[in-house]
Amino acid sequence: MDPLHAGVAADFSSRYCPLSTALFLARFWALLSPVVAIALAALLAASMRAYQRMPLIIVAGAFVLFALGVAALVLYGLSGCSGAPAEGLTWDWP
Amino acid sequence: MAEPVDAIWGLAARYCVRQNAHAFMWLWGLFLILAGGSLASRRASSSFAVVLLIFAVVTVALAVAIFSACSAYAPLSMGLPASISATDETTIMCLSKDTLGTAVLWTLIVASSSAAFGSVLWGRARAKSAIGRAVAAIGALLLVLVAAALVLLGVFSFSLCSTNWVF
Repeated sequence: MDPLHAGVAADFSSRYCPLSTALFLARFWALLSPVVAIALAALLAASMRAYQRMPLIIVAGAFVLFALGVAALVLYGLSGCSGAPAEGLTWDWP
Repeated sequence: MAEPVDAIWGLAARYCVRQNAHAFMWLWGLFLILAGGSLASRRASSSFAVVLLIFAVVTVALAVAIFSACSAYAPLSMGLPASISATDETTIMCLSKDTLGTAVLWTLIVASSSAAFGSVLWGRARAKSAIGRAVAAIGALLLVLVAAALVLLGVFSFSLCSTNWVF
């Protein structure tokens, strides 16, 4: 890789990266856990109902898919980070 | 071994996901609300379900367009030589700018259009009196005007971005 491409690659690997990946992920899972809890509660409520279950199942499915999609997005984005994060261009919260 | 351009593209794609993470999360949430709403309302009103489904598909298209534009523009913004025309460069630059604002604007357009459509359906099916139907029609008209104004705002912002870049 020539110096220009190497410089751009280094910039792409350092910009919008968290200062601490462990702290970032801990905060991210903490933020995501209520979404999963709501999905589980909706599923539980649906299982206890004899009729009109479909709206609750749709809500539960939407929350589960939202959590999965956001997790995939965040993990994909983080997979491009390596080295020290760029000053002033950090990813502070998910 | 991966070519430098492939490696740069892969890194640019991840960089764009990080840079526009909130916009992508927002659009993903909007897509799920629209798809879920379409699924839930398919028995009550099939036409409303179709409208929501169309909005859901356009939401995905918008997210894909933002991601593609950002991934294509990011290497150019870092100084790598462009292999596209200046017009195309301007277009992808403007598409990848203020993505959260674009997502919020699209959400407002979808919300006002869906509410207008819902108001028309409610007026036709549920409103008992002539006054109720008139209120529903006027409400729908106002909401359509709001949606049209928001679309014009989006077009204006995009045009302004393009002309600022040119001049």
